[in-house]
Amino acid sequence: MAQRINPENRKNPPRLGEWLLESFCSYDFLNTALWDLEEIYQKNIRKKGKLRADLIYIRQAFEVIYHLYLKGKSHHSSNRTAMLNNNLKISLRSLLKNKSYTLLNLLGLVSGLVVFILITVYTTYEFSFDNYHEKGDRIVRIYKSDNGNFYQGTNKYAVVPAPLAPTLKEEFPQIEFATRMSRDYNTVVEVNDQVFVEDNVFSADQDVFDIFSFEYVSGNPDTYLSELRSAVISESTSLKFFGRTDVVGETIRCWERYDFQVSGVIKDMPKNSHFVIDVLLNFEGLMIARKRRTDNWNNSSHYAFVSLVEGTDLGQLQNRIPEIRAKYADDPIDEDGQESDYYLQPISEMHFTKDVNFDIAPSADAQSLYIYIGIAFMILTIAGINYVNLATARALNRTKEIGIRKVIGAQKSTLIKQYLIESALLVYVSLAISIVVLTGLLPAFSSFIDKQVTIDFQSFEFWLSILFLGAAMTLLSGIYPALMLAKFKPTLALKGSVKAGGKSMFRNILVIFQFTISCALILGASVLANQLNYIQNMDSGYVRDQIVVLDIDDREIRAEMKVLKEAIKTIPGVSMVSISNSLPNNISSNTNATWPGRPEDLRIPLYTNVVDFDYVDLFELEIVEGRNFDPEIDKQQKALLLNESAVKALGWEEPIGRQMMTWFGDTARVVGILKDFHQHSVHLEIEPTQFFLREQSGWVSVKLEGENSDEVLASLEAKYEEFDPLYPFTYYFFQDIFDRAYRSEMRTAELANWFTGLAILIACLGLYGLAAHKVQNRIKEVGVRKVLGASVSRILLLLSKDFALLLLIAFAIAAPIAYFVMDGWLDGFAYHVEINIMTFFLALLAMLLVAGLTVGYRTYRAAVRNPVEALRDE
Amino acid sequence: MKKIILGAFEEMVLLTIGALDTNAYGVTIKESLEAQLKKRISIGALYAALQRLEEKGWVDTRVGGITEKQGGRRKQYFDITKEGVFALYKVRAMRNELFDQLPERKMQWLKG
Repeated sequence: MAQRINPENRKNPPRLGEWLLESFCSYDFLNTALWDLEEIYQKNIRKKGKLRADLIYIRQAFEVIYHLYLKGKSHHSSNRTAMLNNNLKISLRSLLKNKSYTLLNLLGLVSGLVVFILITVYTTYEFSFDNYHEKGDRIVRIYKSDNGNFYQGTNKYAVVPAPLAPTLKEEFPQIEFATRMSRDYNTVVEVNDQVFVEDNVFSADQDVFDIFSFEYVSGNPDTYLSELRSAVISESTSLKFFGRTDVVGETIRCWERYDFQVSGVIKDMPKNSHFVIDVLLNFEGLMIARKRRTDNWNNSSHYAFVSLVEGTDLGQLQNRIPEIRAKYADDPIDEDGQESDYYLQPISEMHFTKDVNFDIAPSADAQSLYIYIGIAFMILTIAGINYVNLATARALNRTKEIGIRKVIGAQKSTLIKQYLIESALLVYVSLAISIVVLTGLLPAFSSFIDKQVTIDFQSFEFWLSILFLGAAMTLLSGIYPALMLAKFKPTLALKGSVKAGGKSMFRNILVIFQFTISCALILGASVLANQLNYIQNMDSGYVRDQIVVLDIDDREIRAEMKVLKEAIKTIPGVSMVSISNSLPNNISSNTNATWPGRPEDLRIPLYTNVVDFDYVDLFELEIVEGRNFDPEIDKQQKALLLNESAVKALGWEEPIGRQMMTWFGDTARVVGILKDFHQHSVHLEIEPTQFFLREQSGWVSVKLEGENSDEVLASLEAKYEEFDPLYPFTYYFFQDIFDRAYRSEMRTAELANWFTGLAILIACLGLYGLAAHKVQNRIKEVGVRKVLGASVSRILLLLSKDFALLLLIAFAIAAPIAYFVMDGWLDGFAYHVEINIMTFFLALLAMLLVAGLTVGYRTYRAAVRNPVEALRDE
Repeated sequence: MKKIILGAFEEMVLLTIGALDTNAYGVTIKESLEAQLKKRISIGALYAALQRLEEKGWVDTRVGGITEKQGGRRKQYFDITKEGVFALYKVRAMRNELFDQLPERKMQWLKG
């Protein structure tokens, strides 16, 4: 039976869909289609919600039109379809007639659209992080901020005390589930006889499965982590470990000693997750195995995630968090005298929070994403302006056509429609080409940004947004030329007395706008390049080339580091070897200094490195006072180096010989003062730092000499294998590790270079078109001038000086904007270049040169022409 | 006599219209076809098939009664015509005849 729909709660189908059908559906099926689609629509509203129903309606409308138009026989094809056909034909003819004009437009539009779609796809991907969890908007991560305890420039920490999560759940009914979590990198997992090194080893409570959304492959999710020694692994990890996924009950051994039983397998987490779990152990079980307390409010080394009951006000809950501190942390001030505050953060923000230390996974740089988005819009704008400019400039050649049309009876609205269709044709052809280009470009782009970005060509939403993008581009760039063309008075138009260049003011403003964007981009890119150049070539205080480093995690080798060091020293081509706790570009440990006679409440944090006798020489650190560690004089653990900042922070007048407590429980004497060096990235200030002396840490740095580094590396590996290690041999070049800290900036810089180039190219395409038009309009004037004796250079000047003026104005607008923005960007670095007048001058010169060549080429051809050709026909 | 050309999809559509008797219109045809074929059918493809069937004179259209209004729209029904039933019959007869020519040896497979 037919469905009766109560008129009161009827929702109307999308107007767009109905309009499409009414305009383009063949008449014999219009009624059928309208009825059927509406009935399906009303069903979908109840089943899938309004938005999905709307989308389905529009898709079906397209399907109907497509099938009836192309596969069926469109009988009583509507007037609109007939007009559309006619308009398309006319537009196509007009576009084909002016090939160079069409080509200029296509090139500009395609480049703009490719960049725009590429960036949109990429940023959408980045902003989609963690949005797939069912409870997404209710999941909260807890971080803390320690008053006064700054580490690497921030006092926020992702790690909180272990009892925090369970206590929150107990105290607040608004909290539904809570889990503690921990993460380990570089973990040895033994499965039967095989050894794997895993970076994504996590531990958590059973609640984790109620907070985040996982898909299950095997096992019972309700009891995944109910046993102390249970472990859940991901599907791909299971295949890697066992070669199959029905592995419940199998045993894996972690850290060479703790056995866990696999209780389930989950589907691999999506790529757009802040952290991706490969192995998940029972939190409690792991803590017991490692003999750690779980009730210690003074030790922050674990993560906490909770989910809130629906409808909970996050702000209100946040205000009540201090109650916990008052009630449980009986000594709210921890061992180091730090006061902590806990903050609830929605996980949608987590992926972009850069200033939280020890995060569970590296965060993304939202700033560079915004830069990309900005650039994408700018390039699209330039491309759009090109179209407007070229179309209005060319309009004057079409006045006769318009005149005839009007005389025959065309209305203004019909003309507007016709020109809009012409724009639409151009835009959609460009879109089609862009998508073809994109499919080729996407893999290269993915590997460049090191992320798997894909376009789902199956998805209707993708095509719909492409459609909308096309419509928006058509309207924004086509409406002005269309209005302008349709406005011509037919008599004037036919007499040919519509003034050439009458509307050039508007075009000039658009050109200025285009070049403002280009100039701003070129300036931004130069400052970016300058700063990166500065980082690459700066004196960091230590050498970086010819150094290979190994990270030794093997417990047995760690016990005999000195033997390993001596063994490596014997390799030919190795000039020096050093063992240390940190590399000089990232000294991560941080300790409050303690020395005999220290006032009780004086806290001075020092970044701490543990090094051997050769460290200072190998990295060529400079000693400004005293001496380096000396094997003849100093005993292990008994000597100490400070950097200049440390001496200043401690306020010691005569530091040499003073005592300081070490990590090893005894006191050491200061033997020398190091010149300040950049022990963190240049985003951060140089901090007070101390070096302890001990020959037993995990980093081995090897200084090479000579050219044959491949041979040395091979011998290094051979020596390493002699120790029968559990971990496979891995090495890094120190320069690469150093560069890694600036990878995001380098990527931004490289992209910015490409985009700037493209922006200038597009703007120049437009400029070329405008110059061509201008020359054409003044060809007679040029002819007369030449006959009267003007030189080629005078004519060049005459035709180009307008453009030069526009460019100068654009530059004057762009320079302060670029200065302001880039100054803000540079402030993100503690050490940076100053913006230089020379940079601006060079950028201006480059722009003038490029624009000059573009305009000059076109005008030169006109200037050297024989004036007779220009003047003979009238 | 006119030659009968009936595609597989058209035949399914025509059969469904016949089976639905007086209640065959876009949505019901689509839904019962989807239930039979166990896959999604594009409504556009259905219309194209209906259009061809109508052109061949195998279905007729009929506008729904006055009560069946939906936001001012009238519903359009499809009925199978005499010629339509005849065409279905001819097609089936032809197919049966061919099927009967399958050797006994191969028919055995059906029972196995």
